[in-house]
Amino acid sequence: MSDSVSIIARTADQTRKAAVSLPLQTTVSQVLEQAQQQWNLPNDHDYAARLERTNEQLDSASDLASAGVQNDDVIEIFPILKAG
Amino acid sequence: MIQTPSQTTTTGETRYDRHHLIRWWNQQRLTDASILVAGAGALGNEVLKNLSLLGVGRITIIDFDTVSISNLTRSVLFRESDIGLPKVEVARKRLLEINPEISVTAINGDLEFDLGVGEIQTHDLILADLDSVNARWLINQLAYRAGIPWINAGIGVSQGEVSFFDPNTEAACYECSISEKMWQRRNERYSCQGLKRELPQNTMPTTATIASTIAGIQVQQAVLYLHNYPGLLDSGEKIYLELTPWTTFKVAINRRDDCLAHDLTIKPTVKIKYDSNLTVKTILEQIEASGFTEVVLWLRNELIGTMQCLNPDCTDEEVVNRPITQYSESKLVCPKCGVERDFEKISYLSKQESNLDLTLQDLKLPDNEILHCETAQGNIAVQFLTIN
Ligand SMILES: [Zn+2]
Ligand SMILES: [Zn+2]
Repeated sequence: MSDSVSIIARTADQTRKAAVSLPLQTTVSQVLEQAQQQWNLPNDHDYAARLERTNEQLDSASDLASAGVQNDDVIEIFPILKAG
Repeated sequence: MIQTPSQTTTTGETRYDRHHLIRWWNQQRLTDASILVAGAGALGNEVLKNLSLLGVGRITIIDFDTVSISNLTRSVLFRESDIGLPKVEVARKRLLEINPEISVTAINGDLEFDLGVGEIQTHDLILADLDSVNARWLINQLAYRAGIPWINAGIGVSQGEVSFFDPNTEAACYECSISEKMWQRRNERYSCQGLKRELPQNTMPTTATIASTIAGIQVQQAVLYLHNYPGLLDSGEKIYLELTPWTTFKVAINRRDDCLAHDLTIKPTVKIKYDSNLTVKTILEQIEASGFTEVVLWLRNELIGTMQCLNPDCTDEEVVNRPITQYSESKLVCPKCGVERDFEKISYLSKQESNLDLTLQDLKLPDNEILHCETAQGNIAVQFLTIN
């Protein structure tokens, strides 16, 4: 059994997209952080990850294995909206 | 004021005629409903406008802010002549113009300190239209203590989110969704002791169009909830909507096993008549008289008791009695000698450790507060009731 997983990460608006292979112990928050840096997403926002297959907003503290992420899954990254 | 029945015109037309045409609509359910709206900003204005148009019978608004000129691009209830006035007072007046058949209570205060949990329980639902993760976390805590569901909304420039959290379900709450990074950002605004840091408020770009779009979804969720009509949001779910480019989806937020908010709901076992002069001694005695021993009554907001200068040659001592998060970090410096001061933290009340002469007034307990209490007989909740 492989200890890494190949996924597609993209922003919710699909303006950014990448196919990546990540160790299964990578946490969701590490994925979010990497995406934010790679894609130069605005720094004053917080982000969340949606697993497209299950329509779940993943717990940022869990790793990809316990979040149930599988090969070829699509993870969508979207901002937490704070203004009122 | 005398409540007039719904106005009828000479044509026999009534205010809610168009609502009555909706098959599943129950106008009486809305008339009987009581909704707490936290925040009277861009979203809050639109939400309040919708609730009054719909005929929600009892609305409570809480916000500490006053109307400023930059609010006028997104706040349908505010006028230029309202600048400087409390937002909640202005909103109340305008809502009664829109619909004189409803009742509106305005609380010009802070939701962290000025709203008792028992007061929240007099509502069916909370709509939160706040502007920070911290304020949303606080309302989540209040909602879970009170056992009252809440609907969250947030906006950006061309996107928004609406989520629903019901303490009476096993689904995720708002706190479950707070990441380590969000906590870090929140904690930057407080010292490690919990004192408030005077940082500039983050002003965020928003417009009337996205505010009205998202507030519409938020209030629709409220209407559906009141009708027990499922289909928009289940508890723990969130709608994300982006207008440019068009993107929309619904997610179920993962529940965190270690999230503490879910254990906060306890039904009050002991009720004490609220009197601002009631002392800690009397309160603890009243709880004991109900058959409980080894009573430790936990405050919801930790207080600073007495502030004392750390300089051995200085005699400065100040009785503060204020919530820690309300007290500015800059005031730690001794006004007499400039050396740092230390303070006594009041987190709970007990016969062994507390100043028994402190009163409810000193403790800044709002009316109708419910506090958690540990006793030798198990955990209970104590409600401080104002009896009219
Ligand atoms: Zn939770
Ligand atoms: Zn001093």
